[in-house]
Amino acid sequence: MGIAAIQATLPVEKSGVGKSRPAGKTRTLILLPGGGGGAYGRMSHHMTHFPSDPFAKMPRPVIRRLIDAVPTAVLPMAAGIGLSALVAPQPDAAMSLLRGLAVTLLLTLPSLAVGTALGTLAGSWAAVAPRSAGGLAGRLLAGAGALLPGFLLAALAALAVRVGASAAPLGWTALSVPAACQAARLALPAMERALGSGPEGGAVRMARGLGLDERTVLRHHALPQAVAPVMGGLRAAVLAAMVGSVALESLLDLPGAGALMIDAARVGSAAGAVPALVALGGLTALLNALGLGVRDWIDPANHSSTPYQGA
Amino acid sequence: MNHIAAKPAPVETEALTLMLGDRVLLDRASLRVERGQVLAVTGGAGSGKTALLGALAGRPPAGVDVAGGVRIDGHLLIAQGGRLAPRRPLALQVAEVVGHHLGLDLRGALRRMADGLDRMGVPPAARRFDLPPEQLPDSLRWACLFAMAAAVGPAVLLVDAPAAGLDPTVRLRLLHRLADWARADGVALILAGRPEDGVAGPADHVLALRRGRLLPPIPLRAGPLEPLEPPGTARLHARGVGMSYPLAPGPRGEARSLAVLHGIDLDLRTGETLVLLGETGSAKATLARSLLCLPPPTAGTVVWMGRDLMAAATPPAAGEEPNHGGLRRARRDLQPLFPDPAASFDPAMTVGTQLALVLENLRPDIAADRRDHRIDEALEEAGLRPEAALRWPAALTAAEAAHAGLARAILSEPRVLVADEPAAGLSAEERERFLDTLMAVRDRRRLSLILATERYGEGLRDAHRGIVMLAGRVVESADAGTLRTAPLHPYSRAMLAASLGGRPALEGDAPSAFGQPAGCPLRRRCPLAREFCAQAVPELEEVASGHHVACHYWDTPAEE
Amino acid sequence: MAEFDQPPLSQPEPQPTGFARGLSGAAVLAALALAAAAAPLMADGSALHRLDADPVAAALLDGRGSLSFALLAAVLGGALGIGWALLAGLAGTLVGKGAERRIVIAAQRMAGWPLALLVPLAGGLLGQVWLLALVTALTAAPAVAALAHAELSVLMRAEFLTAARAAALPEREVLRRHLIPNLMRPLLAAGTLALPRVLAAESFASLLGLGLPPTLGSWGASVGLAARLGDPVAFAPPALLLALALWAACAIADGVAAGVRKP
Repeated sequence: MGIAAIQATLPVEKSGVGKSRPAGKTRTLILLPGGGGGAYGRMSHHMTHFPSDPFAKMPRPVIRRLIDAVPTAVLPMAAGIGLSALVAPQPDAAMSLLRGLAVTLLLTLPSLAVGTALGTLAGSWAAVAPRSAGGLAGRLLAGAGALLPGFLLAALAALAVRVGASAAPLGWTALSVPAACQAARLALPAMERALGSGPEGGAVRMARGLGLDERTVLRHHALPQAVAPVMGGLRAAVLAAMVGSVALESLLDLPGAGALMIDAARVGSAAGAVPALVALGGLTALLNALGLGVRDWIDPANHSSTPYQGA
Repeated sequence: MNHIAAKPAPVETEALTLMLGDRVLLDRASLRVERGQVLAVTGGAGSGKTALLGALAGRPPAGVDVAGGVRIDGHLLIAQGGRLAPRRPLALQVAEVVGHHLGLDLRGALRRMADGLDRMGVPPAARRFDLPPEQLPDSLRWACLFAMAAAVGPAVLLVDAPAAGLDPTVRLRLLHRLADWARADGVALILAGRPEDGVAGPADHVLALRRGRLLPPIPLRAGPLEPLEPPGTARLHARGVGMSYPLAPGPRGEARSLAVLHGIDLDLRTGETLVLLGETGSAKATLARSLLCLPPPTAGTVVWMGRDLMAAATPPAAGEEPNHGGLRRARRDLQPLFPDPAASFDPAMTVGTQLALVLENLRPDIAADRRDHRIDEALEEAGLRPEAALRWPAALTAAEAAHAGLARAILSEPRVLVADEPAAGLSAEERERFLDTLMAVRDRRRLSLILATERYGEGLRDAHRGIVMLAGRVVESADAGTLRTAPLHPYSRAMLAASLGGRPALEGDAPSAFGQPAGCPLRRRCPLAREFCAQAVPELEEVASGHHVACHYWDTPAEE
Repeated sequence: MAEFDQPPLSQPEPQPTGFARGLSGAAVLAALALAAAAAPLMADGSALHRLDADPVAAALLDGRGSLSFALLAAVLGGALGIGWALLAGLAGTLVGKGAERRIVIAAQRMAGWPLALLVPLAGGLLGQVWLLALVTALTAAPAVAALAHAELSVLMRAEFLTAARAAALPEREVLRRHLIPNLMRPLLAAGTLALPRVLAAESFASLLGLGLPPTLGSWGASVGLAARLGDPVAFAPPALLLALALWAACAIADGVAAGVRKP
C-alpha cells in the first residue's frame, strides 16, 4: 500500500519542516518594466490569439482619455476664457486667466504626481515592513491624512514665506503632502489585505505557493492591488489639490486662476469670478482625465471599463 | 504499510502535527504518497486542509504551529481560490512561473504552456490569455493553472480546493485531466477539498480529515432515510412558464429582452418530491422562484389548488381591490427555502421577531399568545433550540441560519416547500445533517418538495421524480430511479458520471446566456452532436412511460 | 457542530478598528465643542478684542463659529444628499430605471467638480450667512447622495425583502418593518460624510477672508489672518484645533461607515 495514514503514537518532537527547493535553475524573470504597457506590446509577437493591441505605445491611453475629456475639460476652460474676454472689466482679463490656468496647472500637476507616487510607495511599504523607516513614514502619512488638508498647509506655507522661506518649493510641498497622505491612506490597508490571510490575499498566496521569489510576488502580485484603490481615489486627490492650490495662490499672491477668482470675489465682481470658476472646473476635469489615462496605462485591465460612471 | 522503500517517496510525513492556538488540526499523521499517485484529502470548512497543504509546502498559514517531520521533493502549491494577480495578462503570469522554474525565456515558456493546455483539453480557440484573469471564465483560469503545473512538471503538486465553484461536469473533467497527467508523468498529486466537491472522484486514495485525524471517508447516504411513500394527486400545475428579462433598447430603439426560461410544464402531486437538476445557467432557480411568483413569471400560468397564483401576485390595476386573501392563502401553502439563508433574515430583527411576523401575517387564526409556542416548536423541529429565537441573524453560523430558514418555512404549516439549493453554503457533516432534517420534516408533515440543486446524486436519492434542466429548458424528466441508473440524455449522463466521481463525456464550458448556440444548447459540448443539432431545438418526447427526453440522437451511439 | 465552530483559516474576523476610530473622533469633537462653549469663561470679557487676547482662548472662541456653522451646514447637506438619493429611488420605482440612473449620474458627476470653490465665491458675492450655509451644504450633498443611493440600491436587492414578500407581507408593511429600519444606519452614515466636507469648505473660504463674517469668528479666518501677518503664535492654536476637528470629523464619518458595513 503506497499511501498510509497512521495515527502514530510516537512522542512528538519539534523539528524543522524539511523543505526542498523545486528542481531546476532558479532564475527570476522580470518581464514588466514599470507598467503593463511595454511588455504587453512585446508579448503580441508570441501570442497568436492576440487582439489588436491598443497599448503598443505607452502614452496612447493617456491621449485617448484626454480626447475623451475634451467636452468636459477643454470646453469649460475655453468658455471661461471667452466669457472673461466678453464680460470682465479689465481689457486683458482673458490673457491673464489663460496665464493663471497655466500657473495653476504647474502648481497642481507635479505635486499631485509626486505626492501620489511617493504616498503609494510609502503606504505599501508600511504594510510590508511596518517598522522600517519607509514603513513608519507610510503609517504616519496614512494616519495624518485628514489632519493635513491642502489649504491649511497652504496657510502654513504662507506663514513660512512671510517669515522668510522661499515660495516655490514650499508651495509644491504643501500641495503634494495631502496627495501623499491620501495615497498612503488608501494603499496601506489594500496592501495589508493583499498580503493578509483573507480572500484578497489569494493572489499572493498563490504566487508564493508557485515558488516565485518574494520580490516578484511583492512587485507583481501585491503592489498592483495597493495601487488600484489609489488610482480609484485620484478624483478626490485632484479636488483637494485644486482647493489647496486656490488657497496657496491667494495667500502667496501667485498669478494663478484661483487667485484671480478669489480677488474678483473679494471685490464682489461676479464678472471676474465666474469665468475663472468655470475654467478651474475645466482644469479639474483635465487633471481627472490625466489621472484616468495614467491609471489605464498602469493597469491594462481598465482599458475597456468606464470608470466613475457608477451603475 | 511498508514505510521503508528503496527510493524515498516524494511526499513523506512523520508524526506531522498541526496546532492552531490550542486546537489540534492534525494529530501525528504519517502520510506517504508515491510517484504517480493521486491522493484526495476531504474535510469540511475549517477542518485544516489548507493548513495541511501549507505545512507540506513549507509555508503553514499564519498562526499554525507545525511539529513532526515532512520530507517533500520539488513541489508546487496551487492555493485555495485559484487567484492570480487579477490585472496582469494571464500569459505573462504563467510564463513568469514556468520561466522561473525551468529557466526558459518567454517564448519557450509559452510553448511549454501550450503543451500543458493541450493536456488539459483547452481548445486553441479558447486561449485568450492576453486577458487578465479577472476577465476570463473561472473554468479557463483553473485549466490554465493546471496546465501551468503540467508545464513546470514538479515532483509533487498540491492543490487546495481545485476548481471549487465550477459546475460539477466541468470540475470533474478538469480533475480527471489533471489526474491523468499526474499518473502519466509520475507526479505525486494531492487534492484537498470539501467532500461534496468531488475531489475524491479521480483519486486513487481518499482520506477524510476529521477531528484532527486522517481517516477513510464515511460513505454518504445513498438512498432515502425512510422508504418514500407514493404521492397523491396533483395540486400545483405550471403551464408554459417562461421568464425573460428586459435589456437595454437596441440600436434602433427596439425593445429587447433575454429569455432565460422557455415554456416549462410541470405538475406537483401531494407528498411528492421533485428535484430540479441543472448547472449554472440552467434556470432551475428561476423556475423555482417563478413557481412561487417571487417574482411572477413573464409567461404561462401557475395554478395552486385551482387558484391562479399569477393573477393573485400581480399588483392590481388602479381602482381594483387587491386580492390579499387569495395571495396570503397561497403563500401560506407554498414556502421557499433560500440559497443564502443568512441573507434571507433581516439583520435588524431577531430571528424570533421575524418568525413572529411571518406567523402573524400568514396565520392570523393563531392567537397572539400561542405564537411563541408555535415558533419554539418549529425551531425544535428544524433542529435548533428554542433559544435561537432570541438571537440576531448576524450571530448565526451558516448551518444555524439554514435550519432557522427551515423553521420559518414550516411555521405557517405549508403544503409545499420550494427549496433552491438550500444547503449551498454548507459542507460535509453540516450539509448532511441539514438535508436529513429537511427530509425528516418533509416525511413527518407529508410535504411536497421541489428541490433545485446541481448535485445529481444527492438530489435524486430523496426524490420521487427528477427534471434535468439545461439553458432554461427541460431535457429529461423521469422518476428518480431511472435517472439514477439509466438516464438517456447526454447531459444527464454527464451529470450522473460527475456525481459518481467519474469522467463526464462533455467537452468545454457551458455557453453564457447571451451566447447560446442555435439549435440544441448542448451541441458544442455533446459527444452525440451531429449537423442536424444546429438546426432545431430538440422537443421533449416520451421514450417510455413517464420518461421524457429532449435529444435528437439519444438512441444513437456517438459518431467516431 | 462543535467541530466546525472554528471559522476557516482563509476568512479571519475583520478588525473593528474603524468603529474605535469613530468613537475617538466623536469624543474629540465633543471635547472641542465643550471647550469652545466654555471659552468665554476663560477669555474674561476680552472676546471683542480677539488679537489682544490669549491666542488659545481666542482660538477656542473661534471654534464656536466654525463648529456651529459646520453642524448647521452638515445637517442641511446630509439632508439634501439623502433626499436626493431617495428622490432617485422614488424615480426608479415610479418613472423607470433610466430616470433613476440619470439622477444618480448627475450626483456622481457633480461630486467630481471642485464645488468647494463655490463657497468663497458665495461668501464674496452673496454675503449672507444663511445663503453661505446653503451653498456649503450644496457642496457636500452630491457626494452624500451618491453614497446613500449606493446603499439604497444594495438594500433594495436584499434577499430578506423577498423572504418578507414570501410571507405575503404587503408592500406598505415591507417598507415599514424592513426597509426603513435597515435604511436608517446607512443613510445616517452617508449623511455624516457631509460633516468633514462642510467644515473643510467653510474653513477654506474663511481662510481666504470670504467665509463667515468676522463677528462670528472662525478658525479658518484666524489662520488666514495669522498667515498673512506672519505671526506664528497666533497661527498655531487655531490651525491645530482646526486640524484636530477635521480629523475628528473624518474619523466619525469613517467609523459610522465601518459600523454599517459590519455584519
